[in-house]
Amino acid sequence: VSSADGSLRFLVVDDNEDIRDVLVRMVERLGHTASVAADGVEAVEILAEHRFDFMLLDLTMPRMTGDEVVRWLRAHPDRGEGLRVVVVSAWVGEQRGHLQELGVHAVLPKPFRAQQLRDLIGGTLPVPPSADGAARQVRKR
Amino acid sequence: VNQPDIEAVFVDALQNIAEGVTELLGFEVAAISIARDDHTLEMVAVAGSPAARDQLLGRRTPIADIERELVTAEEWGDLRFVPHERMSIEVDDLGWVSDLEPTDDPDAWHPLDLLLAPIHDEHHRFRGLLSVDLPHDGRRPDAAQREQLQRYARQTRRSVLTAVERAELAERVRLADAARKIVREVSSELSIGRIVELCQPAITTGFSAVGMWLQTFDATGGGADAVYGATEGDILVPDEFKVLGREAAHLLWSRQEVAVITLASVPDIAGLVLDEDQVRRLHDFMAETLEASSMLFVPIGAGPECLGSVALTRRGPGTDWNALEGRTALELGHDLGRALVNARTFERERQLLDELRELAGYKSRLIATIAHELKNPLTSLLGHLDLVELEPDLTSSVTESTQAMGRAVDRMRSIVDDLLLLSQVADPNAALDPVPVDLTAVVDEVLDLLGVTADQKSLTIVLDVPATPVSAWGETHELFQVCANLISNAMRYTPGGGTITIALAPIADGVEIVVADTGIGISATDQQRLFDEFFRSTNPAALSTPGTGLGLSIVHRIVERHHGRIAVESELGSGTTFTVTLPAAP
Repeated sequence: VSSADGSLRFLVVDDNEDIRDVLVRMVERLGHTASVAADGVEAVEILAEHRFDFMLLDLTMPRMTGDEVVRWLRAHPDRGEGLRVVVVSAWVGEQRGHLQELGVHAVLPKPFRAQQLRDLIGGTLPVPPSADGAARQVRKR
Repeated sequence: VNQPDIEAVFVDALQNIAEGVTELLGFEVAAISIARDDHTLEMVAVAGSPAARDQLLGRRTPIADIERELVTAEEWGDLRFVPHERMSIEVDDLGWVSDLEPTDDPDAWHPLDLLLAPIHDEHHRFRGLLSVDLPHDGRRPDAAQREQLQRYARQTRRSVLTAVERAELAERVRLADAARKIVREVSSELSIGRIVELCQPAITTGFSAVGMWLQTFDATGGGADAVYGATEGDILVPDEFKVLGREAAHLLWSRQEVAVITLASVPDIAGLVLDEDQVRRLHDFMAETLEASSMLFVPIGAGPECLGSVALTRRGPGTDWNALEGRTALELGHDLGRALVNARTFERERQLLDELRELAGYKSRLIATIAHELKNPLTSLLGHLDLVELEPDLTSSVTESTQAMGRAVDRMRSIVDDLLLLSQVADPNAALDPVPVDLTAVVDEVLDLLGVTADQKSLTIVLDVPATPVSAWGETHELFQVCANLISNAMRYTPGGGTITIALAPIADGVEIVVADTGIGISATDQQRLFDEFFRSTNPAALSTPGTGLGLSIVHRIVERHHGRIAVESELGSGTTFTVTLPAAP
């Protein structure tokens, strides 16, 4: 998906406009591109149409939560192919283990520094499991 | 099974009667029996030959056997004569048979003849028996002898009935006293329902009642009275009688009286006026729903206050309540009153605790929500600060501003983090899941984290720990927080060059963590409020050092929920020592 110049495509999902705005600006400042979704419903609509390298995903949102978006991705493994999911939330404390089980690659607790986001993007993130792997997980259930 | 023993004085009286029969009326043997609960007649007085006495005294004969003989008996006034030829009882069951030679003379006494005087009470219950055997003259008694014997029979009846009645009464009082004792013992029970459940068997047995109902009056004066302990299935007490009972109980309590209600008469209850319809409905309720023939209605109270009532019912004939039972029941009303007061006090305390707990839970949720809500604006602030700092060619004045804003954001982050932690450790609904925690390792970890600060301020750290690990029961990250907060406070409030001593030691009832510094100290006034949320010292030296005012509250809450203790010793200008005691883990 990534373009020839090495920039990555981001989907920023958060119901708070200020947070979407600052995340988009940070992503762009780091030389990448970003699309936005204001809740889970918008996120899956966009995910159904477009491909991304990263999704920065809030958890508590109206209509459809971040958790539900991750579950939707598990049910549609082809849409999650090559996508790394980073949960950006104020409420992650005890959910970390559960999120990892669901296939979330990293967690960025709010508030965070630009440097933390840069580190995440810059390859400290584990390689996401292949679409095959995700599909197998779905079948196991 | 046995009925209570009749008093010795009555045994003596019966013995005298029996001896009168043998000595004055000319019978070889006279015996008096008393009915027992197991439907037998027990011989309690025997006069005559020592052989007969030995064999007969204490002997029990089924009442049914005697009643069967009486069917075929000749009626001689109060006496019953069973000629040997009609006798159906087995010879072996008679206990003692004289060695008199039987003859063919129809007027001669036969060794197997029975002459009896059965004793029934006014309710036709078989209560005793006078039996005589072997007239001295060897003849069946003539009219004159029968007449004399009848007189003794009537005397026997009076004595037996009085003896039995007194024995029963004594037993009832004993049982009723036992019931009162049980009520007093369960007074420490904490719910009214439980008290009723525990006492009911003792009370019904003690008062020979078939049913017991306890009504407690709504403490608020409203109509929500509660009825406990229908002994026979779920009998619904109509509201009318609850209201009536409430009124009657208040009147009775003020007079310190009980009321007896029987089917035959619904009496005036403490001056309470019932109209004819009410009397009829009460009669029908007792007769048809409760199937009771009489009811003892007892007020329950404490001091001047009437708190409820207890109704005891009896069924069948001869179920009157005597005055002594009434007095005992009133004492029971006092005992139950004390139990009710205790239960109500406890109930109120429990409610208050529940409310406090609810409030503490609400406070925790509120703090957590606010802290979380602050995280989004903080994220935005911090993100934009970072973006600004990434801009090229910033003037030094802008950089100064962004750095100051960065420090402010950091401080807000610490407050938010501390608030979240506080909300977790102050939530009474958040259960602690303790494991053995190696405090030595925890302190090492904290010192790793804070070592830089100590170095920057040239503080001397003295670590006083035993060679073997010191472990406490607790949650690792919470105990880490306790050590981190105490040690970082010590570093924060100790001027450069000072010393901080951290000691771990097993003590008699747990393990001890001591953090002592040579810092600015805490005044006695400040020590009082040290663990309150957001309390900051009034000491200017302390105020100049940034802090959230939550660190020690968090420590206090954590120690509390670990069932530990925390103590502080301090003197302004010379230093502070915090001592935390926690339950020891193996």
